Amino acid sequence: MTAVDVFVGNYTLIDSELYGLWLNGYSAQDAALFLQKSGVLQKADVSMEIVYSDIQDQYRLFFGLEKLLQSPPKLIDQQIYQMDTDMQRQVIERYYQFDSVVVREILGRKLSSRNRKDMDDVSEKTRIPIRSCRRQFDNLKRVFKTVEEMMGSLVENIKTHYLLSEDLARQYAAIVFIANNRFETGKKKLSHLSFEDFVFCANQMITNWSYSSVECTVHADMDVDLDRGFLHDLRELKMISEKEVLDEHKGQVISHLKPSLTKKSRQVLEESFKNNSKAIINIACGLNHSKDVRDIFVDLVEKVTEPCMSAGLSGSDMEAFLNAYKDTIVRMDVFRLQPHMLAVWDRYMKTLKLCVLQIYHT
Amino acid sequence: MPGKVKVRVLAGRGLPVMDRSTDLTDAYVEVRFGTDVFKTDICKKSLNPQWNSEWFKFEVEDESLQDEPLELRVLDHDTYSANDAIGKIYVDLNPLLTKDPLKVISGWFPIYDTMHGIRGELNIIVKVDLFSDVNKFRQSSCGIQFFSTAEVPSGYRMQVINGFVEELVVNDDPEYQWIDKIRTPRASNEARQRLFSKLSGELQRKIGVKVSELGGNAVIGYCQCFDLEGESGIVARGIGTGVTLVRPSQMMPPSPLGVSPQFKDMRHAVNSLNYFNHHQTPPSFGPSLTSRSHHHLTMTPPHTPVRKSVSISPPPSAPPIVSSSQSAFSFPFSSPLPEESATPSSPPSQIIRCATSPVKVVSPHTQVRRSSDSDVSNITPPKGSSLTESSGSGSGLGSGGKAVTKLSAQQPSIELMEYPFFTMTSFPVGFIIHLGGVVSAKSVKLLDKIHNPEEPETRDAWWTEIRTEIRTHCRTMGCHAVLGYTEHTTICDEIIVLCATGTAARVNVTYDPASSTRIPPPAPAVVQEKPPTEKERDKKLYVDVNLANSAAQGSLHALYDHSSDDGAPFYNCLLCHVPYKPNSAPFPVNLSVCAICRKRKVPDVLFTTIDPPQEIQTHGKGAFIQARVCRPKPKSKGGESNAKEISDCLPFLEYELHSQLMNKLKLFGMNGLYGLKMQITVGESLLVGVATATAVFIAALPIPPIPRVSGQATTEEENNRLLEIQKRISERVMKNREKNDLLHIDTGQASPRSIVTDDSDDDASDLDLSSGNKETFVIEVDDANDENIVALLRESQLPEGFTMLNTHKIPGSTSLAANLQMFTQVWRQEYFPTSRSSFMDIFENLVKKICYKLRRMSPCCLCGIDFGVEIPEEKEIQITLTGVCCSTENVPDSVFELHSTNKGNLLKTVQGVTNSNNSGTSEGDDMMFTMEEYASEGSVGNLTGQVKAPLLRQTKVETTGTKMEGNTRRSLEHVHVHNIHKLKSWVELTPLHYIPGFKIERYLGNYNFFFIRESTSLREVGGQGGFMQMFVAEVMANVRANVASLGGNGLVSYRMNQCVLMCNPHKNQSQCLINVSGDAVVVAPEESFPIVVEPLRKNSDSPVT
Repeated sequence: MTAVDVFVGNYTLIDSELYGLWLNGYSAQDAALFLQKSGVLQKADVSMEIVYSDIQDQYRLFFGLEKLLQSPPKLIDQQIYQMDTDMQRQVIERYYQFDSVVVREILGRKLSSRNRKDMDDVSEKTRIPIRSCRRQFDNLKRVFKTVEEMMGSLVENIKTHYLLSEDLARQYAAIVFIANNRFETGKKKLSHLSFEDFVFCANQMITNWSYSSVECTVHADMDVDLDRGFLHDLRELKMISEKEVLDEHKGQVISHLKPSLTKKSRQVLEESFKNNSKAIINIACGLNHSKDVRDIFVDLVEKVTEPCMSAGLSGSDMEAFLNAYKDTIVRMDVFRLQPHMLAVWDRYMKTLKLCVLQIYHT
Repeated sequence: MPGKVKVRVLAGRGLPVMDRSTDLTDAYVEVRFGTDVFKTDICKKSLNPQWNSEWFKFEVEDESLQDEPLELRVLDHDTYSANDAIGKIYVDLNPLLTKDPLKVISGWFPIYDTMHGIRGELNIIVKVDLFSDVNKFRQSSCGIQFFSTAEVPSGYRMQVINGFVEELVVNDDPEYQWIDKIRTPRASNEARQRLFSKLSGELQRKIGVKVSELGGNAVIGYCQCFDLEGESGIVARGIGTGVTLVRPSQMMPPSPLGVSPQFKDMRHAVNSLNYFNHHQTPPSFGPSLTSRSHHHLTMTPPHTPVRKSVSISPPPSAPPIVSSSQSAFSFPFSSPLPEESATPSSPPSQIIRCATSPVKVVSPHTQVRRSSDSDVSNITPPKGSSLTESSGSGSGLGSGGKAVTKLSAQQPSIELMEYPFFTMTSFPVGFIIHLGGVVSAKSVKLLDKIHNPEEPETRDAWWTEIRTEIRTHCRTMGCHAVLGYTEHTTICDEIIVLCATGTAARVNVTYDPASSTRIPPPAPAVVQEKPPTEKERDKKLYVDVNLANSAAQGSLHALYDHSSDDGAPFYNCLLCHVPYKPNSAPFPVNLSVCAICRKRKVPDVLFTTIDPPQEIQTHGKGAFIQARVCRPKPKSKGGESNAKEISDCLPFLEYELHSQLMNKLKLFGMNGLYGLKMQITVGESLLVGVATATAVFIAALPIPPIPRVSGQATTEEENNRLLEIQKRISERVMKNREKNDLLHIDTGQASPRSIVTDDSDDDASDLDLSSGNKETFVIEVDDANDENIVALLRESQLPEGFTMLNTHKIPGSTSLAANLQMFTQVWRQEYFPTSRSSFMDIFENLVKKICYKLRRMSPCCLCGIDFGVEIPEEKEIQITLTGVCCSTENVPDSVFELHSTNKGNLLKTVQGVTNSNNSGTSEGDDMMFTMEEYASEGSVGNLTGQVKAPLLRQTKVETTGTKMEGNTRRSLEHVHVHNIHKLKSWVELTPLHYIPGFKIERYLGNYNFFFIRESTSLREVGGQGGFMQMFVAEVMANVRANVASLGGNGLVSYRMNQCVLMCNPHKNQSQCLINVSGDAVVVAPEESFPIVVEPLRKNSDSPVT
């Protein structure tokens, strides 16, 4: 039994491979076995003991770094580990990377310590070691707690407090956004949607529907919430569901689609127009109620994408339809009394279209 | 000098949460110097407090300025309970106590707590205003500079060597005081840490006084140790070499001819002018000599025994001819010839030899003066008597000696030095005349027998005894100086073993600084001279104007940079010649004729404790050699008998160490050892000896034969086994020779740098002859399973791409390109002595481990390797290993091509390994998908990283990155780009005296750090390993912060003097003390670039490693 066996360098060097193994939740023993299998011992002509000792050094280092990684700016300021900025950034970035399968499972759950226990199930389901799952959960929770109450841009906040890359910060922003609005993502109906789908949709909503969107006039509130004024305005869209408007709208859309769609598709759309339109408008109106906001993905899937898919519409059919649906309203003069509604309609439909197309898995 | 210390506390950052309820801290700072305390305001509820305090001023007198550290204590204010300590900062003010007025300490210091480690940082500014001397009668040592660096610091010139300085201070150990029973561990640790700091200051101050009494202004090769004696206290010991240093800018009037010698030369200026002068006095130099000297004149520029500093040495007024004849007078000293032509003009040493002083023991230089010395009585009886005997014959020379002293106003002659010891390991060219061999002395003492433990007398007496013995040994070898001198102790309970080691040598200290300063050098033409080792018929005349010019450009190349174009070494085989008369060798030694000059005798092997001197020509590469012996010892039955046991055992241990070294040396096919370090450690039931050195092939010494196995083979089978062993030994020798480029050395002089060309052919034949005559080296084998032999052959080789050395300078054709990583390895394990091999394996394994750790840096050279062995517990061994991993480059010479191709291959394989690793990872199992991403990303990162990477990776970049074929030479443009783009406050640490690829611009001060760390939650910090790893990292962080606060970016001569770890895993508790030292410096890239203070960032490619 070795009591002490440590190696310390003036420069803190991270073994990229071991760091990966560590992040993936491999214990030092597992990592040693893994390296053994990969033939490192033979290549370097060393004993298992030496490899293991190296792993332990690195693992102890990671253990020490982990405390600083909880608050990345500390890692940048500290002097104990002399490392260059690129490496610091890389270490941070990798620490905050996650497996989308794992996060997909966590998504929609409350980020509370109680749910941390469920990581066992997540680990089992995704076959990713429990340690890694816990780290990912803790990271999400930590980032969430830090930025949920903050003013200003969500992505920027995450970038300054966690020094993450733009891309990763966006993903975190999406997760925080979803968690904050408590969007339902866990229903069985939604199981076919990937994490990336949600990130895309959430980012669209952040850009267009939240307080930080360009259209939003009051930037006082937080990025993590939807623009209340906008949601309020959305109620006005109710009129589009009125009989006369609906019929006229239908006619316009179908004629608009004539040159671009096959006859069959047009037929399907014609038949389902009423349902589709109602669903879209209902979702819009419902966004004013937080209960319905949560169910936005469920509604989109249940009321919009599923019926269309079962009717056999392709993705491009859907895109053509939504474009026509959006554009024809403008010509119809429905908002003659409320001209500002045009902007609201545009703001709503642009994002909705992108979201629907993203989750439209044919 | 008294002074005013001014301190400002600016801000803190990253403080720990001290108040659980708010998750914040109400911090304030106490600034303490001596007994005065100031406090800052309380900065409420902040982990990043901003104080921006006023200037706190302390008026302090000289002594405490040097002894006391400035103490800053960060506390958390609590309204109701006692204020909690967050941590402390100790600032050593000594670096500020120089004449340089603009020095400031400012920066972020880690707030260090002995119980919790580093907890945040504090930004402070410290200044010291010194008053000029108010009292002329008080001796102050303010302004005496200390250098751990064991050579003349780069950028300085040594004017005078004032001599060996030592001091010893004793104090109670707070851990053993009654008060320790009632105070908290933190208070106890802090008391101790403070004490160490104070002792160190006091020690330096006292040594400083000694140096200034000697007339010096600096201490180089300063080495400070703490002996933790336990009950009897703490002893702080310091030894060093007092010298007078000058900055050439202040010193040299610019020579009109632009020859103001390059730094390197300046530093060697401690030359032997005096010798010339005083040899001029004897009227009786034989005509033969004179004619010979004229001979010289016609062929070569005048020369002195000093290789390159000639431009300074000749007396200015003297016309060239005179100066040359002068050098001719010095000839007897430096040339191999005078022995035969024993003319009356030969220097004293020769006279004595000719006079056949009846006792071979003592060199004539030990004169009457010495015998009047009080400590002569301490010399062991037989030696003492020999000394007196010889003093009679020596006295005849008294006048000569006096002449020397008279002439050199400042430079004390070696005879006048009480202890002619030099703690440096490398010396100016021309300083060393002959190298004798290693001398060492050991003494076992009992700590509980000290009458008056608080007083230093007893220890002083012990060391005097040891030093006297060393001096005597040295004389036995016909030498008068000890180079590379070190002292070391090992303590186990009440037993203390004192050891001293050094290299006996004849040196040339006398030098008249006045003449060289007053008068500018006469002409550039005398800059170069041919090696005196050559026969006169050498037709080459070396008037190297280029050299002079390049020297004039004034780039202050450091000595280590011996590979640079203008610094081609001039070999001198004289150094290898035995200083004693062949028939009066102090010990049985095989002497043979010098392979270079073919005149004088050389030993078959040469052991030294110094760095490879430039003048000695070597072949091939250097190799790391280590002898390890572990002997069981009966457990202590009581002080006296235990001490006897140990002292009886020591000679056997040393003998074994020696024979191991010798065997290994032969196995390497080499004949010289540099940097030999012998460490003896005493434990409760073990006695361990480890000797570490760098083996080389010295050209002047005979080629070592392949060891021949001899043994009594009684049966056929045994005989076969012997043959088998013989075969393996031969194979191993050949392999080693190949590895170290020693296969084609038969031609005496192989290096193109050697100016010798003509007679290499006849040399070769001669050499063969002589080596054929040599007795073969026989390894006795008792039986075919002899542990010795088995262990010898088991010794594993370093992995491909690694070289390991324990010296500062790199012998052979490779030179260092850049630092990659300074490392510390601490290893501790239970050890039960079972067989010899298991003990060997510990070390072998450790080396392998290091190589594996650094595998991604290969090809590289591990330099300055230092092993420290302790036996902290009865059945435990602790080894600390420090060193630096450097990338290498080959000196462009004939072997270069070969090397570069090798390198290329190697690199490819390395790359191959990484690639396959990556692919292996990505193939892994399905859980690993992020890895895949990273593997690819990583390798892309690597490539870009490498492109930006500094010199070290240059070769790699070219072979692997940009696929540039063939040309593995590093392109310097790259380096430049890198330097400009990547400025960051890196601090480089290195055990070497220099940082490869950089030049030292300024020395900022000597640092001696003592840290104590304790943990009562060992499991929580990751066990013993986690604790140690963290602590070592914290120590380095502290060192770096201190260096950076002085505006420095490097610490050279880094040494871990002490690492005492006490663990108590059952109590979940552990304590460790670490003492490190070094010289803070400002370095700049060697390429003449607009002064860039920051060093390179080395690890843009580090993610790989």
